Amino acid sequence: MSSPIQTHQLSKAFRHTDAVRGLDLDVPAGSIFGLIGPNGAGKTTTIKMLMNILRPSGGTAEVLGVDARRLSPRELARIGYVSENQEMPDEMTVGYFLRYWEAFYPKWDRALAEEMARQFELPLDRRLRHLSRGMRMKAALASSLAYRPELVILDEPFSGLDALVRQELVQGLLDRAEETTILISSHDLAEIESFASHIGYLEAGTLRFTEESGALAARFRQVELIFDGAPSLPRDWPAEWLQPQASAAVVRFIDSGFDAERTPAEVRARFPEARRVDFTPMALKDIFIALAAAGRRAAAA
Amino acid sequence: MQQALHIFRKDVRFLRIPIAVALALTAAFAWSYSVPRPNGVEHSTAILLILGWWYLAAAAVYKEAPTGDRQFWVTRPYRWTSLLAAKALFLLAFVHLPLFAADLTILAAQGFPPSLRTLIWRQIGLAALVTLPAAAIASVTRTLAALAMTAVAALTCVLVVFVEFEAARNAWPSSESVRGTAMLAVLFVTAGATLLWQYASRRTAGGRAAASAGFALFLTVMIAPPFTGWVEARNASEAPLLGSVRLVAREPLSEPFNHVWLGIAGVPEGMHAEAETVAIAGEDKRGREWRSQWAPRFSGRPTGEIRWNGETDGNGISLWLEPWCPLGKPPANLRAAVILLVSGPAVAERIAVNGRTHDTLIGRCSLAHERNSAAIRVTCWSSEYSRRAVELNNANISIGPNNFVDYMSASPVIESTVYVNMTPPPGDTVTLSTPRHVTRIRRDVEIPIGKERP
Repeated sequence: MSSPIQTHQLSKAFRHTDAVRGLDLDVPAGSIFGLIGPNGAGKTTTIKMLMNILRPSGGTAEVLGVDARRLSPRELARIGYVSENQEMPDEMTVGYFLRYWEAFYPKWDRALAEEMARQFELPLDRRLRHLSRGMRMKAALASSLAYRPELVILDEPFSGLDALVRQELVQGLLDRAEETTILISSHDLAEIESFASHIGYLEAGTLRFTEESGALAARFRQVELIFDGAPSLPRDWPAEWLQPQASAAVVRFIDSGFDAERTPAEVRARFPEARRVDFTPMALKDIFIALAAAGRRAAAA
Repeated sequence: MQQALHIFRKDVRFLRIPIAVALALTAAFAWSYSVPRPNGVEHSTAILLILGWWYLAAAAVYKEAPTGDRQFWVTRPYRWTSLLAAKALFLLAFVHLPLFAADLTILAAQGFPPSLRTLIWRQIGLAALVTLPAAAIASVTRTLAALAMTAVAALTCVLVVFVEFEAARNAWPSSESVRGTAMLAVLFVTAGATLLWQYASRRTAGGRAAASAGFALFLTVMIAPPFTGWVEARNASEAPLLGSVRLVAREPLSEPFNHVWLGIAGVPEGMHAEAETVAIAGEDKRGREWRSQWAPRFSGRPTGEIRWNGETDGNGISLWLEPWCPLGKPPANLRAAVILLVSGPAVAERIAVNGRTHDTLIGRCSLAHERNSAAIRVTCWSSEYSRRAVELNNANISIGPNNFVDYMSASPVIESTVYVNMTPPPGDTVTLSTPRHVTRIRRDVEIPIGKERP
């Protein structure tokens, strides 16, 4: 089965600013792909190009096998899209909003829409403009899942939501994850970590890496070395060891290329006087912070 | 079509209040033109109605705005053709059809038969002036405030050009209908093309560029002079009809070299000739040629390089050259060209002042007494009244084009009403005198140059 989303050297420039540069992205079918990156990394711009909201400056993007610039109503009827900053028809009630879309989607499932409205506790008779932000996102998600889309694209869906609403949205999404491919952009990594099968890290418009979540977690380790005296850092510091910190008797860094067989020996070889070495698995959130900080330092240098 | 109807029903549901207001205004408009004129209220209703239509058209477009990248609908399976059709249906249902019904109501109330051709022209004029421009501007803006600012800026440009280039525009009043039609066509095509572009591509920069270019063309047409040539060519074929009519120079051009005295000779007995527009051409002593714009009769405001006034069958035509005329003093030679309106003897008809319609030589008219017994209301349904001046009771009361108030100036005339105070008061019948057969002809004359005084 071909990938629902593929890009090749996708680029977008706004006047003198390169928002996205040469992006090669492949979102496998059936995956939950988390596109992460700091603010301004180009996540929203990328998604807007995938949805044909923005036209690329260069490169190509294919969505469901079609050039994104030629997405027609036929393809859009197979895609669910929710964005944090999307405008809504505020004058509609939630009930009318959910009914309105029936005419646009041949596969609209009214029972599913009603079920999600119940699950999300949506007030059907209330206008969208009178809903809280969380409720609006729930209504948008329900209207984007009720036709069982083959592809769901979510742009920062959890931004500014409280923990309970986030959990409800994630649960609503996961209940239908088996049926669809999901691309979700976020800098809220706690939620991504819990369910994303793949991670792409975007920084300054460039895709730094894309990887399965398990493999990503496996290759990052917080390394802590304890010395009896003052430690000295080796001159040939490996590029994959990030954020080195040295204090009176402790050296800490993050290894971005951890290998259970190779790395301990390498650390021992560079720090032979270390009394103790600890390798601690990292949460995705800590990995992201380390990568972002390293990226900023590299940009500043 | 099903999707278009679905969107249309949604728009009706959420714009029901502005729709109700617009329909109420249309009803008020129809009423104000159907009853004896209630002190100018029809102008207020017409202005309010136009504003209401603009709002309605913009609000319908903004429900699914083509501009921007955050609208709820752009990632949904909307067909652009269905969306555009839904908006067109909306404007048809709540602007065009109500006005059509109002026109029929007004005509019926005043006893005139509807003319489908004229009513359709009115609808085209409405589309070119109101609904399409409003929708087109809304399609390249995001808010009503932006739309209002754009409309005000455009209107300001039009007014500035209107005032600054009045001379060019007034060069030949009879050709202004050609200019008006061309301006409407430019507006219609520009607004239509902008809408198509925006809905098909949503590339707003291109839409704005197209709209701006069209508007610039509109302003250019507004001040461009070439329509006079078109009218000249059209009228040249009529020139041989009155071979005896000729232009004569009554005096040579002499110091201070700025006054030309022309006369019209050879007008057949019983016919009447009057100048409509005048132009001069000549050479200075270095052989450089110069030609003025066609100039209408001087009406108290400077309108160009020459001014003229006078009656053909009275003292002739007095023509003044403005001091900055580039021919110098005196010119080497000078020619004048005059467009004359020549009409046949008037035909008198007795018309009953009873409020019923009568077929007359200028169209279908009705005459009715006002509360003031000296005043009558004359209402004519005519497509050519502007070419004729009529008289009532031979009492030097002339109903010319300037006396008529167009029912709505955006279209060919379908109804015109004028109130006339008569002395002595009219009886049960009035004599309506209509000049027969108006012909427009061009005549040229060489103007002799007087000798320069030492």
